[in-house]
Amino acid sequence: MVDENSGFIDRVFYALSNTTRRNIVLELTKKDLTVNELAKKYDMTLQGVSKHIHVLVRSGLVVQTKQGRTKYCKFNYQHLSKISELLEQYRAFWERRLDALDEYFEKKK
Amino acid sequence: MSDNTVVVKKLINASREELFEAFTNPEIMSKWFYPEDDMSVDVANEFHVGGTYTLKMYASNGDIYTHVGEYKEIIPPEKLVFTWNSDFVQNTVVTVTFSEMESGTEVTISHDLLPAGEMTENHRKGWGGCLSRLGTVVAS
Repeated sequence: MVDENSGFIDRVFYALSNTTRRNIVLELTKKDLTVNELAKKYDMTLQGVSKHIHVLVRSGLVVQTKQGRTKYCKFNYQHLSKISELLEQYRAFWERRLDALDEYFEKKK
Repeated sequence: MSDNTVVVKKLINASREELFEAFTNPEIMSKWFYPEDDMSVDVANEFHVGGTYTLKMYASNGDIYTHVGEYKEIIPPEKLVFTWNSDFVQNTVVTVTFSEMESGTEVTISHDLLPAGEMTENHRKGWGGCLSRLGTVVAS
């Protein structure tokens, strides 16, 4: 079974299912940016871009930090390793299933 | 297939037909398709393309984990494709293939964790590309 905190993968997948949000993430891997700068880049209203940022923050892919009076959006690198952990958990799950299937046939024979 | 697919393989001493049945007959599935020794599973399915299955896994502490999905492709005794939804992931896709070997059958399970149902093919490609680029960024 996959661990109980893994609802985050749904949030990550949902966050990345939108082109604008994917672009935002890619921009943030290059440089930390403010919401204002992101809004300008994508020719969006502050409100519009904030909605996307909110989804990305909820997914854990982006964190916001304050430097002085300015709030920067940063890409959260640690989250990627969490995703690979989840993939590992699924791998273990399916490996155990195949082991159990093997045992079933061993006993049958 | 992408970075977001888990692939596992195992050589099992049984025929493709036997294994195909083990993956599709609820009575046999209930004998092996549960994650821990102290768990049990109830299986129900309508075995045809477009039909659904339900796996209810019972943990010893009383928790119930329900998995549901729909059969997308059924090619006995070679291949089986179904969607996999749980409390944790939605619209993921599992493909099981059975290949004949000298000493049995190689079973390959590949579980694509992309939420396929919610995205177009372009989105899928874009997303896969996005993650692999992120991977490059992290590695550098």
